[in-house]
Amino acid sequence: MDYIIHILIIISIFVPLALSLDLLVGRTGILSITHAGMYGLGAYTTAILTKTYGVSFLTSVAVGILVTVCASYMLSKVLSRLKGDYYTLGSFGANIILFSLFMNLTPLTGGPMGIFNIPQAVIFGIPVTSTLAFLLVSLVFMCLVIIFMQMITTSRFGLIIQAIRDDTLATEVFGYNVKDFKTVAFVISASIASIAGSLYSTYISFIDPSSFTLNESIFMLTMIIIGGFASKRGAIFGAVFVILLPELLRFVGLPDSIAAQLRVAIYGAILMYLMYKKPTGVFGNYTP
Amino acid sequence: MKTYNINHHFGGIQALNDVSIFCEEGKITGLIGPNGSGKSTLVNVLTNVLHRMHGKVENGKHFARTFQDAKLWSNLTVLESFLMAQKSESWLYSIFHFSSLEEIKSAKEIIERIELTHHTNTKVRNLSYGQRKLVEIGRALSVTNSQILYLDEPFAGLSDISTPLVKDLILEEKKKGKVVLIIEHDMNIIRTLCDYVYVLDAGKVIAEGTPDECLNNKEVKEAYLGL
Amino acid sequence: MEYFLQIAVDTIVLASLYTLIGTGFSLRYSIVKYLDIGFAVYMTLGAYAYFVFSKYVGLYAFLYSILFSAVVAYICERFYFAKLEDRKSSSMIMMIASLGFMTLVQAVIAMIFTSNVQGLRTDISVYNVFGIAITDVKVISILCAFIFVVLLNLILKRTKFGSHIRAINDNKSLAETTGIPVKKISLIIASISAGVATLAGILYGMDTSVDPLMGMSLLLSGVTASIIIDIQDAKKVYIGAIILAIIQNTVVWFLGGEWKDAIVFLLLIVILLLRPEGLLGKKLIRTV
Repeated sequence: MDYIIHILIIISIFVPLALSLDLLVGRTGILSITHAGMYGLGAYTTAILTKTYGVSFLTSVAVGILVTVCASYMLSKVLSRLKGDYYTLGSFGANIILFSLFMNLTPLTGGPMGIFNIPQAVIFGIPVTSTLAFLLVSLVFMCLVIIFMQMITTSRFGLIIQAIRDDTLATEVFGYNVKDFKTVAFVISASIASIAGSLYSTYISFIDPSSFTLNESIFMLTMIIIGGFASKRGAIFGAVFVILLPELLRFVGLPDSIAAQLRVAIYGAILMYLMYKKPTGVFGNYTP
Repeated sequence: MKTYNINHHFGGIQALNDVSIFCEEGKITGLIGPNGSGKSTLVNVLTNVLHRMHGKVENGKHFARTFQDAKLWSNLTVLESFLMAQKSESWLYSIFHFSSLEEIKSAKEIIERIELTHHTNTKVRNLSYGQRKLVEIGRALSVTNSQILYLDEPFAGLSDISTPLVKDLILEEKKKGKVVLIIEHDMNIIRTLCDYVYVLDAGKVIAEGTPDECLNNKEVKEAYLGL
Repeated sequence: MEYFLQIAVDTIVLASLYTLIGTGFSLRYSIVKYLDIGFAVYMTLGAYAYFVFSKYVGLYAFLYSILFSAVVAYICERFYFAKLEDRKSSSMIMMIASLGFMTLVQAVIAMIFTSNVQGLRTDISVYNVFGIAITDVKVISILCAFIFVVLLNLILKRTKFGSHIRAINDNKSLAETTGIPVKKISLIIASISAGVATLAGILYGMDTSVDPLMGMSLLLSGVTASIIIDIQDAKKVYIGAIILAIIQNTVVWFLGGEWKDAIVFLLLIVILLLRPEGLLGKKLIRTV
């Protein structure tokens, strides 16, 4: 039973990751592989603040968002100088730089060993002790993100970013400041990832750089490629599918190290298969 | 709308050479010339697609335009495309902006004018080429408060049924007192629609006048045949 | 003084590797016009292939590994990537497909050989010249890069094959209608670039070590090197590679090796900030 609650918590953390990535990649058309880095910024900020400085959980989330907003804003400005394919390459680089920071700023981030004994969350004075209680918190987060996504995608903003994806020049000619919209989409997407990261670090109470590698970003991309671009349903489906898959592998009983790589290999194979057969994904509204 | 000495070059090639034209309100001005003469380049400069290198433009601010190769938003519906074209806005405003009934009504009116009412909620990518050209024009018409309408070969590839429709649409805009500038290759259209014509060749204005004057001009004929 | 010379030599060796990677990659890019992450695969695959082959055929493993990669590349291109390209798949689809390919192969290699860092050779003879340590590998690396650049230049400028490549780079569809066998050349280049990647991977592995993730970081460095100056001109890539290698080595010397990857990207970003139009060759930038 605890196991099921654990899976549900992970799902409710990753659905917002998928939704926010879809906002950027599926709807705005920006193929950015930095999501794990943004996720990491939130995770590390919360870990450092709550453990070393005794800051409350919610405050640490707020600071995490602030840090991520600044980082993503700067990143977006820099990467926007790169055209087409080189943007994606640059985003790889950004993720690698962030990973290097997590890995090497040992006094702050604990280096390769990471940060452990992250204190449990205390939300509005109530300590979140049981996993069931945490599930409640993460579900609330997931629902809030879903509602937010619903609002943003049906608003004019949601329309404009899709127009930017479909034909940037036309959107520019019709008077829209494309650069601003792209930056805002990037920042919003990163901020949601940051909150998810904060939740993750509080839940697992231990983080290390391995959760925020380039491979993890690719894994997040797989979620929305399977689910389909520009689809909220797709993002949710993709997240659930991709979380449940390795759990199925676990039942097959392979040694952990092999299982971990097998999971990655399967994701790679799925990507190749999907691009060949159905680039739109299961629920996608847009073919890349 | 008036332009003075528009110059533009791409690398070593002078695409526009001291182009000065004058387009009257409530009149349809034609821009003709052989391929590569700079017609689209001029419109691109006037619509900020290309950065204006040299020259002056008067009253050129509020415009709407179509593109020769219908640059539409393929995953948006016709209605959504027109709503977006109505007015541009900032990102902050757009997050809280949900299309009002009025806005939707205005957009639907234009959809009706281009006779695609049954495709109001069809995604543009599912439309035929001819329908897309109509949407391209409709999108330009959706821009509220536009004073100038640039049409880049609006009749190219249109069916016989759609051509009179587009003609009427353009004439309606002319009646509203807009400045209309059309780039076209079809000489019949130029003759019947345009009040005044400029002829470009190799980036220079080689002739101007009424359609008949221009089409009977010796230099113009040479420019078209010479190439 | 000795330290300085040592760094200088090592820098030239590193630059040679980056040159091989940068030019090999841009050769591939000029034909397919999308960022083929698969290039990273062949560096890793080739190095590990050498690892296996060398146990049976010693130094001939060089030849066998390169052939092996060339064949694999040919098969993958013919039966998968070319099919995607035929469908006029967008470059995003191609990039994601190549990303999936890399993820898959990387994971499979990790499953077979473990993720640990391993050495490719145990019998390295070190020569002491003027107090600097020079291995035969280092010398070969420098020679290989030099020969390859000269050879590539000759082929591109003097042979019919080379002119075909340049034509395809300029305008693929036009080249096709002119009767140039684009598909055939595409397959040949896929094999050649895989071979070059393998060579670079083996040389790197001999000089340093191999691990399943080496391909990605080498690719990023190589591409950055070529972006710094001008990707079109192989000679200029060399210069860019030298600059990159100098900076990288200097930083590593002072700050330690963990920042190796991050530095490369920081440099890339700095360059792009200083010259937003980039010191980049026109042909390779696609406007967004």
